Amino acid sequence: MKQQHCGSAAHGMDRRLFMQGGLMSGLGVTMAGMGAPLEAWAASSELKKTKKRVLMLWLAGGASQFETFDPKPGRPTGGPFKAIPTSVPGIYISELMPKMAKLMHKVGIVRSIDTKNGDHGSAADLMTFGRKPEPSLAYPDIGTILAKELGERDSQVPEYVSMYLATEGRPWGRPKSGFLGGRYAAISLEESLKPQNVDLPTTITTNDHAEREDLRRYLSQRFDRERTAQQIEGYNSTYARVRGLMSSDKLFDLDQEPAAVRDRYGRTDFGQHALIGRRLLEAGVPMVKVARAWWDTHSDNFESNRELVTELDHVMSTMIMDLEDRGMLESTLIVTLSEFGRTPGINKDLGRDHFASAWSYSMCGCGVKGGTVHGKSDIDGKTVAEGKVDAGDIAATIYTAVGINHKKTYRVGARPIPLAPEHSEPIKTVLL
Amino acid sequence: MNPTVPLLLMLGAVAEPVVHDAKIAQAAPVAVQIDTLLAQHWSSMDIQPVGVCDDTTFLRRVTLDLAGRIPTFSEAQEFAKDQSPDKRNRVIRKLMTGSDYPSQMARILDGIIQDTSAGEGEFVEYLRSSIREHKTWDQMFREMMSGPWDTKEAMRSMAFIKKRIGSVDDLTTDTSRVFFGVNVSCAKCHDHPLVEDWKQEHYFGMASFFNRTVEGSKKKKKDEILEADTGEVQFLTTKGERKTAKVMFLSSKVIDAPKDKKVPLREELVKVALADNTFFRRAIVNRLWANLMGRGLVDPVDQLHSANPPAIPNLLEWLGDDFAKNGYDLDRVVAGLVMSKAYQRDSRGPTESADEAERAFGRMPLRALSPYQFSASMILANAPDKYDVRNLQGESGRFTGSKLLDIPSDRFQSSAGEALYLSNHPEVQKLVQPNGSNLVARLVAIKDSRQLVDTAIWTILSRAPEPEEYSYLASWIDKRTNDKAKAISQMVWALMTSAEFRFNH
Repeated sequence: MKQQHCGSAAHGMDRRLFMQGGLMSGLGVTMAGMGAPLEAWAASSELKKTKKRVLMLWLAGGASQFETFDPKPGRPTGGPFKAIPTSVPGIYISELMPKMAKLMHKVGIVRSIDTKNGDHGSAADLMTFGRKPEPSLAYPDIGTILAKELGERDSQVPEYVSMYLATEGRPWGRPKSGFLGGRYAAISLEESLKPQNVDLPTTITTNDHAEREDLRRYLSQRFDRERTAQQIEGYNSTYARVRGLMSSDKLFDLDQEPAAVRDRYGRTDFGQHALIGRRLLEAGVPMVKVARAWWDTHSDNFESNRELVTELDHVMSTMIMDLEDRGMLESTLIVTLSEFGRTPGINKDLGRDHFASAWSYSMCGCGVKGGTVHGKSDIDGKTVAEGKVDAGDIAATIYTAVGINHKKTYRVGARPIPLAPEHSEPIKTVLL
Repeated sequence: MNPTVPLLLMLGAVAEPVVHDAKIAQAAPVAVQIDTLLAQHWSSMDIQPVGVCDDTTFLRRVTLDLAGRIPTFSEAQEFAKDQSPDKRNRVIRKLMTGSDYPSQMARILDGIIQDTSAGEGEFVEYLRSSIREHKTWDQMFREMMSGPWDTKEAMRSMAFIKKRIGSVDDLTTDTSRVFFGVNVSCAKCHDHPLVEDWKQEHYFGMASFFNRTVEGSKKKKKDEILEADTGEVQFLTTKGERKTAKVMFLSSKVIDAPKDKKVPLREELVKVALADNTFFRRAIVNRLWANLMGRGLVDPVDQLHSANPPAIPNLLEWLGDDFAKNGYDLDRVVAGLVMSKAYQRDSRGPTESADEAERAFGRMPLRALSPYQFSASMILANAPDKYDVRNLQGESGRFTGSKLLDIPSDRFQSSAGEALYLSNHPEVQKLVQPNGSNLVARLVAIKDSRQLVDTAIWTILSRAPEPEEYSYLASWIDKRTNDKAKAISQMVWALMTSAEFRFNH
C-alpha cells in the first residue's frame, strides 16, 4: 500500500487518520478515518506553518478601484466617497473600508494594472489564467497550478475548491485543469455547497463501500503486474482518495461551526462561503476561490458599492484576523482580484463602466510585505502613471509570494511552458 | 463505383458489403509495409518488440476501436472457440462492415476535427453518413471547406467553418492543425522561434485563404458562408515593416487569386493542398495512427515539421502516398492499420524497456476508453439477455450525460469527479442491482461460484478467469452468504471500475 507515510513528523496527525482505512486491505474493517473531526485535521501546528495555501476572493463583474483601494476624493472622477487614513501613514483607501484601513499594515496594494481588456469573459479568463488563451494548447488556470505545486500527492482533502454560487458571470473565469489533466480538476461548487457524489449510496453501507474498493484495488493491482503503467497507478490512486474526499464533505457543512463564528463572518452568502473557505484552508486544502458577484455597476455605482464594499471590508478583515488567531496568516496568501476595474467617468445612470487601463488588486498574508503600495494611477485615475503591470505579472507575483518559481516550466510534448508567461515579473514592492 | 455493383444491387441484399469486404482485404499490403518498416527500424536500433497479443485481448481491443464497445459474451466465447487461421482478419471485416463502425469512426473524426467542440449532433451525423457511404477524405475536406451547401443535409458539413467564422485566426490555425498537421499559430507574431520551416509569411499566407470568408447577413442569406470581394491580409513584421501577405500554402507555394472573385479562396486551398504531396495526405493518417496505436508517428500530432521527424523513418511518408494513390480511402488506412502486427502487439512486457518499446511501436501502450466507449461498455456488460447492441448509441447518454467521465488525452489522468461519480451516484448503483435478466440477476441464479465467476469475467472483461481469480473471487462470494446478491453486485462493480476495464489494452 503506497499510503503508509514515511514517518516524518511533517506529515502530522491529519494524514495518519485518513490512511488508517487504507491499511486494512481485505479485512473489511470500518474505515476509521471517515468522519474524522475537523480538529484532527487542524492538529499539527508545524504543518500549518510549512504548508502554504492561497485564498482568492474573486470579485466578479469588475470591482471599482475608486470605491476600494484607489480613491480619488474631490476629483471629478472621484464620486461622493471620501478617502480615509489607514494604519500606515501616507496610505489612504476608500472610506467604505474602515476595517481594512486598520489592517493596512498587513496588506499590499497594486494600483497600476493595465490589461486592456474590458470584456467580461475573455478578461476573466485572462486574470484567472494569467495569460491569453492559445488555440491549440489548453492552459491550466493559476488556481490549478497552485493546487499542483502546493498540494500533496495522495491528498485526502480536495486540492482546489472553487465556490461561485451566484448566477451572474458564473461561466467566466471558471477553473480549468487544461494540460495538467483530470488529477487536478477543481471541485467547482456552483449549484450547491455540497460537492457532487460525496454521499454514500443508500443501497450500501460504509463497510460495503470499503470492501468493494478493496476488491477493485486487488483486481487493478493484478492487472498492473506485467505493465506497471503510470496510468494504472494514477487511476488507482484516484480511487484511494475517494473515501477521504467523501469525509471531506463535513468541511462544507456550516452547522459544524459555532453560531458565534458564523455571526462573526456575517450571515451573507459571501460571509458564509468565506467561512467554508477558512475551514477548507485549515484542513489543508491549498487553493480556495470564493466568488462574490456582481460588481458590474453600470448603474447606481455608489449605492451598490456602499453595500458590496462594506461587505468585502467586513469579510476580508474577519478572515485575516481569524487566520491570524489560528496561526495561519503567515502561510496563507489572500488575494482580491477582478476581471477589470471601472471607468473614471461616471455615466448618466450614476454608474461606472468597464475599465482595464488603470485598476487595482490587493494581497495579504504569505510572502506579502504589508503596508505597501505599488504603482500609481494619474490624478483622475485615467491612466497608469507609474509601475504598470499586467496579468502575467500578477500571476508571477502570486506564485512568488507562496514560494513557487514563476519561471519553472511544465512540458507539453517538447515545448516548455513557464508557469507565468515569459517576460512576466513579480511585483517586488509588495513582496517580502 | 464498380460497374458490376448496380447489377448486384438489383439482386438486392449484400452487394455493397461484398464489394467493400473485398476492399478491406485489399488493404493487406498496407499492413505488410507497416510491419516491414517497423522490423527494419527495430533491427537498426536494436529494439526488442514484445509478442503479439492473445485472441481475447485482440477481440476486445479491435471491437472497442471499430465498434466503440466491448465484445458481447457470445462474441467473446465464439471467437475464443474459432480455430480458423484467418479469424482475426474476418473479425476486422465483420466489424468494418457492421453498423457500429460508421458511428465509431464519426466519433473519432469528430474528436479530431472539432476537438473540445465535438459532440454536435448534426455534424456527427454528417461524418457518420459520410463513412457509411465510404466517402473519401479529399471529398470530405472539400465539403467542409466550401460545400456545396445547397440542401439541409449538405449544410451539416458547414460546421467546421461556421464554428470558427468569427475569427480568421481560428480558421487558419485549426485548419492547419486538423487537416495539415501543423500548428502555425506561433508564427503569427514572429518567425517560429524553434522551427525553421515556419515564418510569419506562412501564417499570414494561410490566413489569406480565409480572410474573405464571411457569414451571410441576418437579412440576406442567413446561415450561409460567403466570400467577400476583398480582404487581403496585412501584417507587421518583427522589424516593424508593414507587409501584404501573399496567398500562400504551408509548402510555400503561392497561388494567384482566381479571376472570378466569387470563387472562395477556400476552394483554392483544397486544390493546392491536394496537389501537395506531404501535409494533407500525412496529417489524417498520422491522426488515425495515433488513435489506434496510442501515439502518432509524428508526435505531437500537430507538429509535422523538419525539426520533429516521425519516430519511424519512411513509414508515414509511405502511408501518406499509399493513401493518396488509393483515392484517400479512409477505410483502407484503418483496415491496413488494424491488420498489422504492430496494432496487435501485447501491452505487457518487461518494465525496463517499456518506454523504448512503446515509442517504437514494439509494444502497445494503454489507452483510456473514451466516455462513449466506457459508458456503452458498462451498459453492455450489465445488459439483459438478448440485448440489441444497436440500442447502445442512444442509451450511452445515461452515463456520458453527466460529463463526469474523463476524456482520454496525451497524459490521461483520472479525476476525483469520475471516481466519486462511479462510487456513489445512484444511476451507477442501479446498473449493478439485480433487475430482470440483467447480469447481476443472472449471476445470482448461478449456484456454482466458480461458474458464476466464469460468466462474470467473460461478460465484463471478455476473457477467461485466471486460476487465482477463480479461487479468490469464488471464495469472496462464498464468504458473504447472508446477502449473495449484494456480494455479486459489489464484485461486478469492482470488475467494471477496475483498471483492466477502464483501459483499452
